[in-house]
Amino acid sequence: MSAIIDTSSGLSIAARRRRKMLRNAGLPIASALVGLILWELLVRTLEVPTYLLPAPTAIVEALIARWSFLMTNLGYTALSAVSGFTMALVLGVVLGIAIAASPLVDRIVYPWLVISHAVPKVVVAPLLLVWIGFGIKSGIIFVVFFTFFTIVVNTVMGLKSADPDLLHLVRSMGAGPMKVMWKIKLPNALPNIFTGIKLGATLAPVGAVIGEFVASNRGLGYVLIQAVGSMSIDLAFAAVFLVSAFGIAAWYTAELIEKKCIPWHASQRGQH
Amino acid sequence: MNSLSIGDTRPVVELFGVQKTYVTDTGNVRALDPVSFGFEKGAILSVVGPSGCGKSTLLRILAGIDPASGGRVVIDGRAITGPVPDMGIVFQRDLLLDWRNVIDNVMLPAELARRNDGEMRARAIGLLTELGVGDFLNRFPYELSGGMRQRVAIARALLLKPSLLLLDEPFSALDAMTRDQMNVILQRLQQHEQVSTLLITHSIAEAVYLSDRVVVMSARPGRVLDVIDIEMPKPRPLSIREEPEFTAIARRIRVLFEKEGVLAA
Ligand SMILES: Nc1ncnc2c1ncn2[C@@H]1O[C@H](COP(=O)(O)OP(=O)(O)O)[C@@H](O)[C@H]1O
Ligand SMILES: [Mg+2]
Repeated sequence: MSAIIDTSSGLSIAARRRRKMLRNAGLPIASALVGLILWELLVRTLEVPTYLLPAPTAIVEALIARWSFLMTNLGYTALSAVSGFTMALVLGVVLGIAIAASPLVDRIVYPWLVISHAVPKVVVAPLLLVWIGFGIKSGIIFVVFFTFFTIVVNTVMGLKSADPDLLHLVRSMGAGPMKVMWKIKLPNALPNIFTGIKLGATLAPVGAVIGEFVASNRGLGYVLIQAVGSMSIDLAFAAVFLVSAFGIAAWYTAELIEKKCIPWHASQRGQH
Repeated sequence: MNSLSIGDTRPVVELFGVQKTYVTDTGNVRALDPVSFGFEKGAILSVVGPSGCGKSTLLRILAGIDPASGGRVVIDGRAITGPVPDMGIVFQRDLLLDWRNVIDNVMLPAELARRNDGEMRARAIGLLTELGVGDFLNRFPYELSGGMRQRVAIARALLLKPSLLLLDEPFSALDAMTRDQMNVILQRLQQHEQVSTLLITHSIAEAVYLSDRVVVMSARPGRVLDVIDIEMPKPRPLSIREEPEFTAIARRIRVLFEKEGVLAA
């Protein structure tokens, strides 16, 4: 691809893409930096006490001072987020296929999906302790619960959006329901499935932390509760920062995989 | 009705009183009044008619996609009831798979028929080359122009040597120049492949240029206004469109539409 030259500018496509990425990334980074500097200035000039709102530099200090402790707990949270999300992904896509393939399954499962989505999960979280007990299993199951819906819904939407004429065409070529699903509907649904993956991947660490609030003595959720309890707000913010960073990393990882998997989709070809 | 035979005299497609009424929530739509015509093996037959007169409906019935409300379709002596695999179809939209490159798009029917072998691949490349897109095998549909995409769709439809090629306004979305180009290519390829072809179009010139027989249809609900056999030898140069014989036939069709009030000035 890099050999293709746009004669109008003389730049290779690869070079233009790099330049565009810089331009695209530059503004958000600058905006975030300005926000952080304002925050720091505000805390310093108004002399806000650390136990109310620590300055970004204080958070960085806490991050450095407790680095290995925080990393261990991040690892624990990441483990339940990643395993829970992986399960939700597999279950969600499989159920999505079942729903799209069978109107019967659709009608039976649909109300349960809506109910499970409408139930305020945070309120139900303490029940995890009762039902599943203390430990990582609770966290993982909560993550599944938390991310499942968005994956199912997006998968179903993608599977059902295949062009009816295209379906007629491949059926006239002799394709049965399995072939139609595998060769047409599923690849056609990939852009939607990736939307579900990206949304789910950012929800997963949040779900893991909520699970740890109620049923764990490890992980960033537990650290957060403990830190707030002992008024170590800088440590709490450091934990929040790590959870957010993990969510952002998950989003961009998913986006990277998406770029590799569906370069043919309009969303991946710039010029929005 | 004119019944001069063309090519092989065995009829490949025959329609007997085929009609269609769509039943919808808001009432019945009479799309097609009883229509009868037939054509012979290896010929090109065009159906011309105003928009909404039931041309696509007719094609969908022939393809076994939609059932007719009445009448009978006989293809190669067999009455059809469902999708016939031995058929190549091209729609106005090319319906290529965005996630497959050109060659893999063309190979789709072979895959579905479990005939994905070297011989088929060679045929696919041969067809693409004949259609002038042999240099784009590994390109993806989004990298191609509309005309090129439609060529790939034609190659896909012809891959398994179908006994019948159905084309539903395949060139309607193309600019006039590309369309002329596609007409020439289609004519050459159809002669080379000897495939019986049913072309649906709303261009009188396209129908007359390409066809051995033209079925002229009225506005909705569609019925057959006339069936015209075109004897001009093939291959035909584009310049034939200025010949008196050609313009006479085109005028005859236009007059039919004018009488129907479709093309009233
Ligand atoms: N699935 C359908 N349900 C109801 N009406 C339809 C359906 N498909 C086509 N029609 C109607 O039937 C008529 C003929 O349609 P069509 O065969 O697509 O015409 P053409 O291809 O000649 O433009 C139109 O009036 C159209 O609105
Ligand atoms: Mg139509």
